[in-house]
Amino acid sequence: MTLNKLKVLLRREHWVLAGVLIVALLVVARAWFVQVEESDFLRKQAQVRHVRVLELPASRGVIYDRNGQVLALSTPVADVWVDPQQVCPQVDALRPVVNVLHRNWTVVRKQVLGLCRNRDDSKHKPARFMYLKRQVIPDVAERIQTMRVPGLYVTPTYKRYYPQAEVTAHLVGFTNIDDVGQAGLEKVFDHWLRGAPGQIRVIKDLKGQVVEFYDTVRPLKPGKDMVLALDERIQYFTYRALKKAMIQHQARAAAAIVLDAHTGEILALASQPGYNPNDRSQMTPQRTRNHAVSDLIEPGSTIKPFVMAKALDMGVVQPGEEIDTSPGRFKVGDRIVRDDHNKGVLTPTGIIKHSSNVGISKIALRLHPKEEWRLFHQLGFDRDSGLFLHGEVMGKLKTADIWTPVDQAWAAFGYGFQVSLLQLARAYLVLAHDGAALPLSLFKRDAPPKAEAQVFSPEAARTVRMMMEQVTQKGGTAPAAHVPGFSVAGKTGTVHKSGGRGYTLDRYRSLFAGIIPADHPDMVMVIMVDEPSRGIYYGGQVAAPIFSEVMRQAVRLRNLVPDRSE
Amino acid sequence: MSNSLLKPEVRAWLGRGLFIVMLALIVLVEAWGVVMLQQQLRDTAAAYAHLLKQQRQAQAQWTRLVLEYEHLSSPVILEKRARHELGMAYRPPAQTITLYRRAGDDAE
Repeated sequence: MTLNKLKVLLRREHWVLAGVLIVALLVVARAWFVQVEESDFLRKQAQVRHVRVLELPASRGVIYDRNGQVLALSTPVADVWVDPQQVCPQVDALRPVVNVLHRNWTVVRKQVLGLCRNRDDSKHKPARFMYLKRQVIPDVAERIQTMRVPGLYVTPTYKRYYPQAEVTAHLVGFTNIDDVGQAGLEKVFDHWLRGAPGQIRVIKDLKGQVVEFYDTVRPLKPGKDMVLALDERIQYFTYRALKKAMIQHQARAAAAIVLDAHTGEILALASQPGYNPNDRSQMTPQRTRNHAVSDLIEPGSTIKPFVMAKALDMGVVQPGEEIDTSPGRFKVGDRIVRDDHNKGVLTPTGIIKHSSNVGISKIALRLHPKEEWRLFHQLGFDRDSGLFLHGEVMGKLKTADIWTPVDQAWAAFGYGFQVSLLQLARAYLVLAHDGAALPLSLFKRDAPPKAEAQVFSPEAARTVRMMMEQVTQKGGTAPAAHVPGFSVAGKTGTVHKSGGRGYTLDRYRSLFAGIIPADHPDMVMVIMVDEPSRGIYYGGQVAAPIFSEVMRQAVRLRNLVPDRSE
Repeated sequence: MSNSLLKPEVRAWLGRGLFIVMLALIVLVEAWGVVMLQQQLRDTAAAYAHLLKQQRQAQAQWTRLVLEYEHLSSPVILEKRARHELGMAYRPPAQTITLYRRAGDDAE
């Protein structure tokens, strides 16, 4: 190659180089314009076309019983919906989808076309959303997604299931279709159980597939699980016995609570009539009412053991003392306290065993009114249970200042004030726990809690439990509460219901409260049957058999050692 | 061709050319790397989306199994099967043998 030729070549190279540089400069200038000058505008435009916000639904926490049995859980489902404005031009494309969803095509078509944009109507915004079907099972949702109908969308969500159905319905409660707690623990602990749905921005391709993650708008937080103190098996036997009693006695309602006497945990809480939380058609106010916490009842004779314990503790009565209850009537002020028949001379044990109103009134009047009121106050009759249960009512107890001797005497056999069944159960827990008041718990406890107060002495509590053991033996008011092989301390109650003008003579509440075993209590159970209407209404005949039926199973399940030979 | 045959300015130009070629190669490799990374990112994103879908499917299957298990282990079913299929019955306390743990049993 000669030098001249090389010079020519170099000159040509310069031109090419200059051309490349100019092009490069143009590219850089354009890049500057796109990346810097119009960056925000172009980014927004790109996002509008490709970036989609993906909702990640949060599942609700699982509710377990004390043995790990599932009481409520959420399962993935999907909501199918359409954008009427997108679907309108080819509405018939929806027909196969509607068929898969088992909906009436004529009805759906009419609904969709009714929401299509009306050009003459400029005042109203066109509808952009209509559900075709909610809570569709995942298989069907996937099938619908593959149909690729423009304007048809499938949104993942969750549906709540209650495997125990009616058995735990009143305690666990239920959620609505939007997964928000509506009753029971589902409502009270909604904030705990409900998670926070997540949101991520993604870039989708033309086929709608996610090709790139843009960013996380909101992180997904699943709901937290919950372990209850409830024992599903004891709950089942309680539910079954209550239902049987409801049918047998044609009662208006019934409820029962079983407590762990060592820890105050709620082992079972059932109410009748019941409902299946998986079937919304059953959710009527009458069925969803939790009678164990929402009904105010006069406790009747079930209150007598507490008055007796306090009297023993204060020394105003001695265990061997004889009290004359004849002739079965006793005048207090301008009112007469009556027994159903003349029970003659009774010891304190006899008063409890035969449930003498006259006897317990005479003992109660030996106490100062404030002492008796303080007893009821310490038992928690004028405050809530501390569980914050949905629909829970507080008892009604007049202050001691306005108590007359009539109020004092009547209160001794459970009239003139009202409590809920839960409050009554808590009071019996005091008796079972040797006079110490324990806080109740819905959740499983690892160790017994610290006692809140000593209501009466342990000796008084044990003495009264021994007296109550007579109630469930032959000659007592509740031999039907007997549990073979075990000592049972119990007390019946048969209460006239109040009507328009005082107490009615033909409507009753049957009550029974029991502690098993009587010597070393393990469980407490209280039962209420409202308005049994088959002619039998005594607590010992209506409510006591429920105790026996449930406890025969419960002692076996809790491995309790029999303490009485038959 | 030996370098000694070329004039010094030509040799200098050739050196610069080599440098430009090298730079171009580096740019090319980097561009290729960016494309590869972008693709990997997209693959990962698609895999993540797929995993999310799989997770929901697994969750649906899990809940189905839990519900089935709960149904089969419910006291109603167990009691019915125990009574009717296995002929089991509750023993009265008189027929119950209680075994008490003696002191020192654990040591043995």
